[in-house]
Amino acid sequence: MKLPPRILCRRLYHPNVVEHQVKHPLFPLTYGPHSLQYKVLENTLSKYVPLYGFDERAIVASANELGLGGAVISALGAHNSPSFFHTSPAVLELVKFHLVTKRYALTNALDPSRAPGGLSSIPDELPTLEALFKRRLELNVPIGSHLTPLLSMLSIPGEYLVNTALPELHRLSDDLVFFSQEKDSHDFAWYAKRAAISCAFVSSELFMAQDKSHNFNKTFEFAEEKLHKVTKLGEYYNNTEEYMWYTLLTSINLAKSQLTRG
Amino acid sequence: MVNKVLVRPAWVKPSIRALPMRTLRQARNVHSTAKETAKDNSIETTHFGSKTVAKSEKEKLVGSVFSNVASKYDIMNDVMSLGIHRLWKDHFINKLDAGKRPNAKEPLHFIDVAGGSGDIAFGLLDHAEHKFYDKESTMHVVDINPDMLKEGEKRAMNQGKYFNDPRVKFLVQNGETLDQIESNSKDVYTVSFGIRNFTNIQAGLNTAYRVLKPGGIFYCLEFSKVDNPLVDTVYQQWSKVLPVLGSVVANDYDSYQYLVESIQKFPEPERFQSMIEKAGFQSAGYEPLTFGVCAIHWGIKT
Repeated sequence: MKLPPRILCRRLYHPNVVEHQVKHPLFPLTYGPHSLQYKVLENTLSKYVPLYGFDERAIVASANELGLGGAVISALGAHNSPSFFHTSPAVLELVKFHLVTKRYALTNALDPSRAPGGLSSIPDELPTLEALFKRRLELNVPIGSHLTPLLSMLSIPGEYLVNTALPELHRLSDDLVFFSQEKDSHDFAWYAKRAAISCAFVSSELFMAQDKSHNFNKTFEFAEEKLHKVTKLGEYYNNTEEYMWYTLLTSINLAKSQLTRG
Repeated sequence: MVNKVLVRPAWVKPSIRALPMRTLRQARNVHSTAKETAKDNSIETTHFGSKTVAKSEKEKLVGSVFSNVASKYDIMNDVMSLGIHRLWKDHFINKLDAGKRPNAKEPLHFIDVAGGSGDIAFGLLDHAEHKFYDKESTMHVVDINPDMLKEGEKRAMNQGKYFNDPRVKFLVQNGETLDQIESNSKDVYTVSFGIRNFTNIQAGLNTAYRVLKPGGIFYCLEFSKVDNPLVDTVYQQWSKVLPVLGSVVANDYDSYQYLVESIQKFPEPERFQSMIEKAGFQSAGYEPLTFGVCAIHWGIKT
């Protein structure tokens, strides 16, 4: 097969700037805060999801209130594929909207590119990981009673899990580390830390789904403990690694000195 | 040959195999001749393409030709796409997931452009009915070709549904102008394997934008470009076989040659997406199906 030189000469090892331009301010959503979709989904999430849960009825009620036609529901779901296990592409979009907007809401005041006053309005000291983690859980309080169906939708194996649910969880834990005082490393611990925080977050959400205590107090206790355990585990690992490295070097030095002596 | 047909006893069912295979164009010519001759009862014999047949047999023969062409169309689609076109259409309908929800206030107004055969139009209405118990939404099936529309009507009649139904209207219209369709009147605009054949695709998209209500959706199923070079090599070879298959199965090489060429000429998905955006649609996107052989494009009028 003969390829034109244009294709052969294309640099494949280096992505260009255009490929990385973020086209939409609420990436991965393909619409901005002034769009029709945002208006409908925002209204649904704030008014009707606490009432109906993550369901088509909530979206339809919202569209009725805003005086929009029945095609809006198809328009909302256009970016998702239907699947046997999921109810509707529009509901999947609603779930995605919930995840993305809550993640942005968490760091709006901490990100100079999004903070209303720019760089000057950013606080001098970033919050702790624990504070940020709890703040994200607090954002789930209005929909607390509907968490079980939400989590089940997110955990069904399939395209949605791979393309939306897991990447969004990863982006959340990445934001939690990046916008907090948490120390970050540039080795494999970068991944390990994010994976551990993701696990802690999911288990806290699962706890929250079953929590009947006042204002979800027990969830916050659980989250605190879980996060503490994860941090402690990291410390154990670091200490063990440090000790092993020390032992290895000592052994090498010992062997060297013994060999020199002959 | 002519005499054989004329002297055939009345009880012998005219077999389509006894007739030379014809192209669709010829068959359509025959159909129009049949209508003309039907008005004049005094003539005992009439034309059937290049042959002369008894008038009483004419209608049956025309009917046979049409059912033959229609069934060949289905078989050809199955052969060419290895049956995958059914999955694409199913996916298209399920992904759109349109219909009046039980707690919605107003029914939906669909328009299916270049949808003469009616499979997408009826599929959408069936989906709405089975999933949402929606028996109110309306459908305009629009095609530039009256014969293709007749195929759709025939299909509706055969299935005993959507024929003479006030909800479903068949209209002969040019997709580029849609002059009988009011502006801001439709909720869902679908076009499946049709926009490729528009003379001016951009004009068709602009018209789609015109007829849709704010909040309405443009949804298009069309052939696209294969991304994977390996699959593309196989696909290109397969494209060379298609006209041959067309000549073997449907006795029509040229039409299928045109099909392959029109697929190759159709803009790449990114370019088509920018054309959709140029027409005024927001949140345009596309989903490639089967390695990009085909793609679903959409845009929202806000």
